[in-house]
Amino acid sequence: MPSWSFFYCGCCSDRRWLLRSQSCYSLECRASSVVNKFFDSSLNFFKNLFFIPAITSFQKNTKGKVKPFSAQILFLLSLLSWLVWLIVQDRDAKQFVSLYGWFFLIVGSYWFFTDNLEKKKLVIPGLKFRINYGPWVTAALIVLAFWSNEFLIPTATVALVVWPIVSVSIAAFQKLLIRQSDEVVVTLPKDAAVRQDLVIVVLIGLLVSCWFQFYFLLQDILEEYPTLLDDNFGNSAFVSPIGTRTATARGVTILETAEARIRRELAGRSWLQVQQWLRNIKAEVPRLEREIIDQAYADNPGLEESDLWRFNAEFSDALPDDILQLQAIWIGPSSRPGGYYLEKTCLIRPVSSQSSLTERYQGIPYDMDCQPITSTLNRQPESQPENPSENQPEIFE
Amino acid sequence: MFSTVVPLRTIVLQIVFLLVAIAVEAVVLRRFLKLAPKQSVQYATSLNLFCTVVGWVAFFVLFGLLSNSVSGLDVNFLNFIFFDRWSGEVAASLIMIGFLMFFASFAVKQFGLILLQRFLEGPKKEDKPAAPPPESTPEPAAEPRKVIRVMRRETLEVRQMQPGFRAVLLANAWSFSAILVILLLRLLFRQALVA
Repeated sequence: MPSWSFFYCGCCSDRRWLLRSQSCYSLECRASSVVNKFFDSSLNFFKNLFFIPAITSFQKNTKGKVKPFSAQILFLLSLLSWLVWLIVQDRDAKQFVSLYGWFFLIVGSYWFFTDNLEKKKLVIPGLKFRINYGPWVTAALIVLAFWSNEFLIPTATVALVVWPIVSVSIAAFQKLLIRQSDEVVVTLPKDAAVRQDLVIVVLIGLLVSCWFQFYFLLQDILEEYPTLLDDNFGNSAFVSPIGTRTATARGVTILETAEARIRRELAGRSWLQVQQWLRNIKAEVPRLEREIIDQAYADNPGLEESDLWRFNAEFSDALPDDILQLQAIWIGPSSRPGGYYLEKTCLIRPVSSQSSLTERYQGIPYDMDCQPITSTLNRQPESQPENPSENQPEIFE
Repeated sequence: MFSTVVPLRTIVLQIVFLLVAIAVEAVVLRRFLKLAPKQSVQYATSLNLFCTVVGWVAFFVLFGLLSNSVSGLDVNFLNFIFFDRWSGEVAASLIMIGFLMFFASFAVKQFGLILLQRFLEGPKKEDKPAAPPPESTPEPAAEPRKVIRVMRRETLEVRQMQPGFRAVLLANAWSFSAILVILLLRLLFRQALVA
């Protein structure tokens, strides 16, 4: 810190303090150098505390680079607003400050992208095609600002649909701002070619916005019909899946519910009673179907697709074990004509218990063993009889 | 929740169809409206984009009305969108919808062409009062010149309307045919893949 020590030296050798070389090596000065050092270090500490070196170095580095009247000033103002936003605690004050932050940011970005417009266009190599992406950035900022303040734009859906429209409005606004002699006015440009460009740009924005809207429409549909996500969209002319599939597999839920339901029904019964009940299961199916499907959709009642599931149970007295087949049949939209079904096969057999006494009083106990669920969704329908080994049904864990 | 179904194929197909339609219609418009090549492409682009946007809006409105009135969406509709499967009745209604779309798009494009021409000629109208005086060498009275100008403008408009009508009808027919051919090729290609 040469300048500071010079200052103190100058102070102690009062008259000739401007002449640095002589005064600094005076006797008094040497005596007070310890004090000076202490002052220096404490000053450094305070300066560092308030980020003064950082600010001065920032000032030095940007000196002559930041124009006094430019977009950069607006970005800095915005930055300042956001710093204040971080410091301020009160919610209303925070919102008030954030309005300033957004305002400076938006105006700054508009300004930044409008001067030297030709340089700030994205050039597609190979084609002589330039994309003016500035309005998209500015529009994104505007939409984010509105959305974060929940003003006119309540949800992400609206934000995305509105975004292209706002960005083409900005692009159009750039062409509508015309300098006439001294003042800048907003009028239709006189050049027909510019008007033609305007028409095409606005229409493209509207089209992109329609695509976003269509995307959200599909999401709404899939929310009502989540089972569609299990199917494959390979043939579709409209949609393609992206990313990892999150299988909801409602059919699996239905079969698990059905198994639990039937186990509850059979609990405490003997082998013979179980057989008796299962032989009449056809009569029980309509009641069970309603209960099971309602229970499987208990987390999300009233979903449209719940009407498109059917439940069926088949029982056959076979040897060595009796077979109970539980089926969840999807009759809704599917890549397979006529839908598909998921199946769970349960084997029921009598168990000889240790004591014949309990057998006499409670009948022979039974054992119900259920196998993994299989689905016909991805099975090839034509080549099924020829080589069954290749067409193993999909097994759910 | 990360959503996994994106209408990417819709977007790609629509862009392809738009490019084809613009290319085909630009040729027709250039011939009938006597436009410069660049201008004809711009006209075709504007008309087709306008038609597409109007079509989307109509689709959203109809979809909103139908999904509100009927309980649940039609399974046939979902099969068509998600799995490209259609039954006989869906195919029949698709053909009907195709016919309706042809006439609707013709009307929309005609309307769009009139709007576009109005919009592009906008500033010329302001210039027009200034333009005629150099043409007429003598200085006649104000009254008859006004009458003549009105007459001339009317005939000009009528003359412009007629080729515009024919141009849009033909352009629409050609672009629809081209798109139909692409759709048929797609169908054949898929059937060849399955077989």
